[in-house]
Amino acid sequence: MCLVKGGMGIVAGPVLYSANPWFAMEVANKYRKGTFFAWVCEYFDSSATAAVSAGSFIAPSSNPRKIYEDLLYEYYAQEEHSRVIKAHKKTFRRLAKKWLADGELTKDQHDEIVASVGAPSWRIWKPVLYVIPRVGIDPSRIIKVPRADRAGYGPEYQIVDLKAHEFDVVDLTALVRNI
Amino acid sequence: MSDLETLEPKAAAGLLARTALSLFYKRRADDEYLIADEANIRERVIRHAREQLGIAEDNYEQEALEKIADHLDQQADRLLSEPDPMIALKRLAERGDLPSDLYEIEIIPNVRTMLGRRFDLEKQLIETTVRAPTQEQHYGPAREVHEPAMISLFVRRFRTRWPLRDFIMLVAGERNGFKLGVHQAWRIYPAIINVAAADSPVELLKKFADKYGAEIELDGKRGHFFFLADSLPAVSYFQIVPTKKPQIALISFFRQIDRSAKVTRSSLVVSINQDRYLDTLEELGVKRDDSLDKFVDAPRAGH
Repeated sequence: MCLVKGGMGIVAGPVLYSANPWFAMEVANKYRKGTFFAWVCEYFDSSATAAVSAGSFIAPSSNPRKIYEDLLYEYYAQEEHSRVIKAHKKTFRRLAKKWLADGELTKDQHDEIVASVGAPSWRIWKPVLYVIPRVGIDPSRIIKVPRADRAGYGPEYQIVDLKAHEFDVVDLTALVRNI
Repeated sequence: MSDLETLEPKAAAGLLARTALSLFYKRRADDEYLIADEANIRERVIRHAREQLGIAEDNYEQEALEKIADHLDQQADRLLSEPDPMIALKRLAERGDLPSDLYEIEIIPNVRTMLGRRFDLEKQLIETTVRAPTQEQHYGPAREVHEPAMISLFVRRFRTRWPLRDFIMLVAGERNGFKLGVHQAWRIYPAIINVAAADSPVELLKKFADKYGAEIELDGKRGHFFFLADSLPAVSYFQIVPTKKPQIALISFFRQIDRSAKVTRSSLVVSINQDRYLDTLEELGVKRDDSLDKFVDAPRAGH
């Protein structure tokens, strides 16, 4: 299917991509009954899409490939001042409090998440790529991110209740460039 | 602030956390208002923080938002009892959930003796495999009759300049607090062992033992791989006879003490023709410089 709206080619991509730290997967598996949150994109590398493609309007900061590569670089370099990793740590601490307050976590589980992000582990920040086939996911679960929350015009989506059997996890360490 | 004082500490901390998260999004799909009038309370909380920090109402720069969020985090932290990270990490270690690069790795002398001059390189391979595995499997602590306890297995593939010399490193160790005692470390070469059907580290260990096994008898059964056994192997080494030249077999296993039944069992017992395995290392081994993968150092503290 190819629709043209407002001069931008929009093709419903058959696959969605989301780059995340390994710890996000760990938390979903161990503390959230296998329910994953994923900020997804129809393009693995939006910078490599054709100029007329919707992908070309996705901001670099939302490009799964760039997110993956940046995190991989900082993971490999053990970059102690990494802004990305610091931001992830803060987010997980906040999410742990949120889940504790809404009864999803016990205090022990909350403390384990907080202790894990506070420990000097680098492994937990290694990036992984979720490859999510659209088939089988009800379209109502793929929520378009409002324009105000997107850094570019290109489409981005969120899935808040992704299950482990609905996607594959790929380690691109051996393939990505410039690392 | 008065909005927070009416809430119990956990709920107030949750509200502050949700507010901090919301600063960076107009609307995140998993953001929910959990208490009455939460949207307005969040606005008041943010306004109050801006006043306290001297940040203008119209300042939405990233740095300003981060300061506000950090301020809310501090408030939330004061509301909750402070977590003891060591106790939490100990629980993770006990369950096998500790991020594996946090383990202090100790390799037992038998492994060093077997590897001889190869030990230094293998030690780096072992450490890299534990710190950055591609697959891992953990047993324990709940002692099941049919399962080993407190044992972790780690697997990682290493690439070389010559694909036929690529190998999978399999490391098996026993967890004890933050320590991982490595009892077994084997290179598995897919070029000579069919690993296609092995979907777990234990399956890989079995495939390895099938290739290099030296028959022993344990619990009245003959074999070279025993997932669990009621008794312990009588020896750690034995000479294989008859062979053209003397060959040594190494029996490696984990001692499992069942305190309630007051018995000691063994698990993941493998009896390996050590000479045949070392011959493979000699034949297919590559120098460090010919490996395409970086080794992973122990994490530096304090990041």
